[in-house]
Amino acid sequence: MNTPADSVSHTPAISAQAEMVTVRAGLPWWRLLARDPLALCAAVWLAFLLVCMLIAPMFLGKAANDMNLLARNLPPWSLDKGWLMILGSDSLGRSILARLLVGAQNTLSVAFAAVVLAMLIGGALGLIAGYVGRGVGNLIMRLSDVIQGFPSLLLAVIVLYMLEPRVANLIIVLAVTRIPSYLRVTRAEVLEIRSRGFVDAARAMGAGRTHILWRHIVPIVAPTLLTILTVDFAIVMLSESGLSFLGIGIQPPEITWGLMVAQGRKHLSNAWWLAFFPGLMIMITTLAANLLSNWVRLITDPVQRWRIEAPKAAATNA
Amino acid sequence: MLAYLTRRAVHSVIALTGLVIAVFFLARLTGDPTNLYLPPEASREAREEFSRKHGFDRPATEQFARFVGDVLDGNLGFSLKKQRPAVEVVLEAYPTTLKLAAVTLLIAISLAIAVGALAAYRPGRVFDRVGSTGSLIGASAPDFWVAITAILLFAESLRWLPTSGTGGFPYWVLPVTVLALRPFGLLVQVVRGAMMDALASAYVKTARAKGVAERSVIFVHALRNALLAAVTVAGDIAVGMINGAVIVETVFGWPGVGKLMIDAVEQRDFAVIQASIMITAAAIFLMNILIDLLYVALDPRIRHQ
Amino acid sequence: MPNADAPLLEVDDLRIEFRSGREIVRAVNGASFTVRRGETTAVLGESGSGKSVTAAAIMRLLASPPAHITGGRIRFNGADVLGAPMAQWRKRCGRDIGMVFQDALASLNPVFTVGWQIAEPFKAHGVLPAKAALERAVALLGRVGIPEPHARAHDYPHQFSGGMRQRVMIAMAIALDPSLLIADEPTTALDVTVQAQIMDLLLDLQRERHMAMVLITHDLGVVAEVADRVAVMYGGRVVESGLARDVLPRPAHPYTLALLESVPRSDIEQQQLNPIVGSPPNMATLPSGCAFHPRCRRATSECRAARPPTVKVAPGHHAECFYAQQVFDGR
Repeated sequence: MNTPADSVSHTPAISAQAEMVTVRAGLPWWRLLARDPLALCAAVWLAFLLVCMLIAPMFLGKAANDMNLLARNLPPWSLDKGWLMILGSDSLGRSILARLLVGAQNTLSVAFAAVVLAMLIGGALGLIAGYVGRGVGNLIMRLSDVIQGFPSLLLAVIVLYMLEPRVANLIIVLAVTRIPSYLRVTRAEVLEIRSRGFVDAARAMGAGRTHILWRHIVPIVAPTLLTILTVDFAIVMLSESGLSFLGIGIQPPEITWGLMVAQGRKHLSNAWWLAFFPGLMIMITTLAANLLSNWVRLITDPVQRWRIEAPKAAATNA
Repeated sequence: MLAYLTRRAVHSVIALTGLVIAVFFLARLTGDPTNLYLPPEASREAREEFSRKHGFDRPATEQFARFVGDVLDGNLGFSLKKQRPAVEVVLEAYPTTLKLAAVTLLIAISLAIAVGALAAYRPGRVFDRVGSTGSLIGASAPDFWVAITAILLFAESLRWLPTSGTGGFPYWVLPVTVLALRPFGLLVQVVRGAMMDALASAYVKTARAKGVAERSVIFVHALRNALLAAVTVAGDIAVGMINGAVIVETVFGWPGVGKLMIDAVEQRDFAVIQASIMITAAAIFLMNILIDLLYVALDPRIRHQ
Repeated sequence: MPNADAPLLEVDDLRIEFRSGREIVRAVNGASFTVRRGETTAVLGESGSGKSVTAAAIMRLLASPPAHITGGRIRFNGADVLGAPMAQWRKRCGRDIGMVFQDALASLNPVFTVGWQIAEPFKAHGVLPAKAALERAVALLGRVGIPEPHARAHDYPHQFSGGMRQRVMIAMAIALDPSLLIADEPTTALDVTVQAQIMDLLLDLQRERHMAMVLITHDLGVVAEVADRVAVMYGGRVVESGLARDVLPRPAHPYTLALLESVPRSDIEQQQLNPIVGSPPNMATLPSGCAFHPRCRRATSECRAARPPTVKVAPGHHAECFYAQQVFDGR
């Protein structure tokens, strides 16, 4: 097919690009968010968890850790022992709700620290691999192949076995398993920018390396890396929970959702809520991160963005 | 094509070598490697005896040479707990894992192709929305939690299925379902995207202009091309399956490599862990070659490069 | 077979919109033309004039959404095309109408052999079993000028050169001896030397098989060489139509005239080439009245206010312009 259909399918892209500029200028991305109810729910949920992360340990730390032998294994909706017992209590009489909200801090901060670390290391390695080319660049790429081609859980198991399951080690291992995607994206972008030659032009005009980096490369790479960051956040949270569940992640008496599922598993037949609610939290949070990352990808992709801008629009793009 | 396959194989060998080196150095980094092999309560004498026997008291270069030699010989250590070579222990457990993975992949792939293809055919309609959201939930669900929740519901409350162990068909239902969730979720998204591209392509218009029935347009012309995209994520999916197998085998008590590894962690049996890791790496190496061959078989453009 | 004099294909007041988001692009705004048996009708126009969308609409290949046919009729052999159930219509595609696309590399399926793809219409329409179909495919490959057709039938599209691929497309389109062949810019993507060979092949086949042909093109030279009839499209409408031998020497629409003046010619005295000023209209915001008025030297306030009538300047020669007669008379 030729021209008319082409011009048709390109028009939305062009108008979307025009609006991208307005977004860059700081205009309302939140109005786009408001148009997508699922993404909005996801964002609200994540924001709520962020607040919990910051304040819950202060207010609920006691309720989450103190035993209360008079309120053991309360089933959910036992409001007569106070609203904290709405999701029940565990075998030591500790409020599940309080433990969930306090546990959010460990669960989320480990995942967050791991992905940020992965992004920083991966981004830096990608810059090096893209800049220095051949020798070192290839070595870095092969290293990333090793990591990518190997099951992350097994990698974590062996490393945590050898280095003891401390939080710092856990974060490092989880970060290492996520490095390849950032590395690849950054390197590809650097190569692309180098091939376009405007970096050479900048250098000819006397710009230093750091200047080129901050002015030309970081602004282009950052949005993509942030999109990957949201997806990876979900993946890492699942991995961390899995490791905690297997007993080689964060150790008690710390509280994480994965650990709560593991502890609840022993009481599955008589107190299902111990394992059920923390798992549900993991799932909802992972889902929220995935939904949000899909949304971010959609609005940062000029070809796709019109789908959000015009919610009634047809989904096919001939 | 040969050059392509050779290059890919060389990359895999480099990756494998890198892993062997990494395992060696990580083990040494911990200070005293006898900590890894011996229980914490082992006496000083026992440690020294062990060190001498396995050459841990020798210089690092000599240790490394010995380690590499052993790996090449297929000697990946001796399981103190089982009193057998670790390789034997791991190879015994492998068929169970492979059977579970094969059945799961077969089911996940066929379902994902059907769901992804039909979702792409009418994007935005009910089937697409349910399929897309469902696959996203599948990809977001923590497998260990789904596993124990399913046990609680189907095995303990309803008593339809056994809680754990191996045996006939009922024993397969829950493990396979749980293990299939994530590969299914990922594949649906990939197949759906690739099908949307294929259905909008010029060659699909040609097929319609030739009078090819819509069924063949979707399932022959478009799907055959969309499968190429699915094969590109096959490696990721297979690697993810191993992660999932560790969890599923542990929860459902399947005597596969995943459970073996986790048991070895609890029993502090380093030789078995080390052997599992290396044999898994070798298996992934073989699998990558198979995937490359599959890709070459499916895409004539690569075949004639 | 119905009356031999009746038109084979009639496109009548066809209207097509593309809706994406808040934007509506009116790609075709009431296009009409007819195609007779055994004749070649050229649909001539610039990029965005609606000619390829019209071709796709005849085959019912437009994806909806975003395309919506909002009015008009297409009749093939006297039968309504747009209203027929899709499954039933699909059975006529390939058998009664063949189509050749512009970009053969994208239009051939990359993962099937060329022989398989040419044999497919025979199988899809239940004409021949697979083995016999493949033999016919080999014969067709030979007919369209592919050397060593037996061996090449087992090759994949990417193993052919651009011209050879277009020959493959043509073999596929004529496989079932259709009475109409729609060729959508069949030579645009090819080298100049190959273009002539492909056009010759199309003409040859057309005469040999008494096919009618709709040739979508932006190339006046091709129209002059091969077309019996011509329909000139601008802004989604057919602005001038008639026999090629009447229209080309003596156009009645300022746009056709401008097109003719913009190409070098050896048959008449030409002081200089006159490229058409301005750019093709934005189909989302078409100019009022006559869509050509912003670029027309003759445009008056009348042209901005209302759509011009269709003027018959000679038997079978029509133009949509207030001043058609003056242009026709060379005034």
